[in-house]
Amino acid sequence: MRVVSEFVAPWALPNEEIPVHLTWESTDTLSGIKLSVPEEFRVREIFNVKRDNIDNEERYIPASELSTQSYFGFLVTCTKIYDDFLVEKEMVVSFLFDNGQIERRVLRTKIVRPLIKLHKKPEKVEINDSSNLKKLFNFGVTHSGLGRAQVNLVVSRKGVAVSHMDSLYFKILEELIKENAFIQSKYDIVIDEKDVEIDSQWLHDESERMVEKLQQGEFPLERELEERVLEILKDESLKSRLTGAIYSRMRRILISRILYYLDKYPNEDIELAYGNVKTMIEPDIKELHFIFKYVDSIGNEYPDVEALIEVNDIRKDKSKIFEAPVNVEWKSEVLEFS
Amino acid sequence: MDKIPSARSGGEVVETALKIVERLGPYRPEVKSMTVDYVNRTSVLKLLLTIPEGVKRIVRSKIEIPAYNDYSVYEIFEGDSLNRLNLNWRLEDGKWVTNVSKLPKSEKYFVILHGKVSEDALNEIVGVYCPEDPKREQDRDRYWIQSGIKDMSILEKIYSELSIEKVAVDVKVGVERQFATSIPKDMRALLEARARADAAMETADRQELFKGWLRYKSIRRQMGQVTTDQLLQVAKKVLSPELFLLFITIDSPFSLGSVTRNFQPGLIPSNIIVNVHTDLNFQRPAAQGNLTFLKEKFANRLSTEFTEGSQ
Repeated sequence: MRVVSEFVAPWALPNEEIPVHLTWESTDTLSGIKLSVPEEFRVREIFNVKRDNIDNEERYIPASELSTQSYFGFLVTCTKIYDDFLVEKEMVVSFLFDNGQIERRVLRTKIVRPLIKLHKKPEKVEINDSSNLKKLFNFGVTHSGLGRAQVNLVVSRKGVAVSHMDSLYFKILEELIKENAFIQSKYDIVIDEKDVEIDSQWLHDESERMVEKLQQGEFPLERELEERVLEILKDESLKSRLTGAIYSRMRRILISRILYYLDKYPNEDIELAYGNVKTMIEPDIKELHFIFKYVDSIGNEYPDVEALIEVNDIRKDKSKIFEAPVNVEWKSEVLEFS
Repeated sequence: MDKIPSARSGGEVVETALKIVERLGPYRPEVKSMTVDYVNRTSVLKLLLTIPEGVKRIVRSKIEIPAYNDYSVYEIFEGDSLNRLNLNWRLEDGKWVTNVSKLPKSEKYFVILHGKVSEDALNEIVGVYCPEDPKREQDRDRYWIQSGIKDMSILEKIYSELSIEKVAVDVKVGVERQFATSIPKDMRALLEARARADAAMETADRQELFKGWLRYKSIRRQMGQVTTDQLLQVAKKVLSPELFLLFITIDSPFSLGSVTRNFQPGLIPSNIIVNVHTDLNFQRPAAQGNLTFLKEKFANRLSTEFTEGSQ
């Protein structure tokens, strides 16, 4: 038997499809093919087999079930998320011949994943009258796995989120609030003269998405304002005018804020879901819980990376709530693999 | 005991072809080849028909070819001379019909039919895959690509040559990072100064406001007339498909197809979608190869364009 071509996807994320195929020539008569895969792997589909007749435990394909006698393939996925960021796995395809011969082909693939680690965090944060409020919370995060990680940082105090994203959504919300747009139900459409092209369908979808988030209370608004917003959203015509106002502001801000875009990708494999994060410092704060959540390119969720930081506010006047940015230094430790 | 799914026997594409062949029974049809165009979702069926002379022609005065899946007669050639015939086909009751009396003396006729294939049917016949994340090397990113016929039993049923052309997959090549790192430092400083000025406006902190605008104006003076708009125009130019293809290599048997910018979010494409395709047939039921993005070269080119663009 001579294997003419053989392929297995060299790397894949958990739950990502791994195709395999083999073509061969043989003068001996094939009796069947036996497939052996690791326990965590699931065979999703078999190619070039006549019917849905192959048992998923035995995984033996009699030659009579093959549509042609020189080609075979299958699709497999790894259903487990390993702790290591690179795990090499083996699959074995055994060709069994009538004359008793067995040809074993070992196919190797690498299951990869991103891995986020905290390499620097504040021991304790003290806020005093001479503190630089913009430099209170400093973290160092390393991406030491493989594959892109989309990271979302959430800061909470006793289980309640006190962070918001220095993002497009919040910027737009801030503007609308400042203009008393919600109180007066008055929306100015900001006309932008610049002849710069932005995908209008994308803008439209994003505007609608922001309205949905407003509806679901995903933005930390004061109670009164929150109620007013929900009232507005119940009225179809007001809701559509609000969407229009958001659309035009989004477009204008995007045009003038390329930095938003540039800051979203601090390095090759990190994408910040919502840009930079700020946290609210309220009176009587004792500790803050920083939670780095991340997913990979196909949406697999990984265990959070967390830090509980003690905060001691010894300023004379602690009454004002203020906003402190969370400063993160991103490092990449991407290793070469062959 | 669950069973591993396998593709339905060629599904609708084959069934339709078989039905046509069946309906043409009296003409002893031989299927010479079937080609599926993956990108255009069309199929081409080539048949040899035997239409006997004399008495039999009088008995059957019409040829009827079922118009399943929008199949229509594309061309018909006389078997002996291979002359192309100009026959009038009319659609009657879901069938393409023409009069036999118009046919020349030959008994053999070569007919080419064109039809449509649904996306579901295509997915039953062939699979094509590439990873979401590339393997990142110092100066390049690499994506593996695989495509394979899922079901060769079509051949058994049609007893002929099957080929599937332009089996295509879209590879999303990420470019944001190259873009972000290629913006010249002074342009970046300008953007940052502008952002700080904007931010100061919001806090209504007079001192911050003043400092912010001073800095912004000073950088602007240094940089000349470059504005955000100009920067975006340069971005549009350098991320054009034609330029981008210079930084993509593909292994045979794959070929590069179209290139589209994916705007997500906003103005600068987060990735470029490169369409890659190959042909599959009985001799080559599966194909594999790599698509490589020469990212370092691309970043260098971007830098050059930005520097020149601002002059």
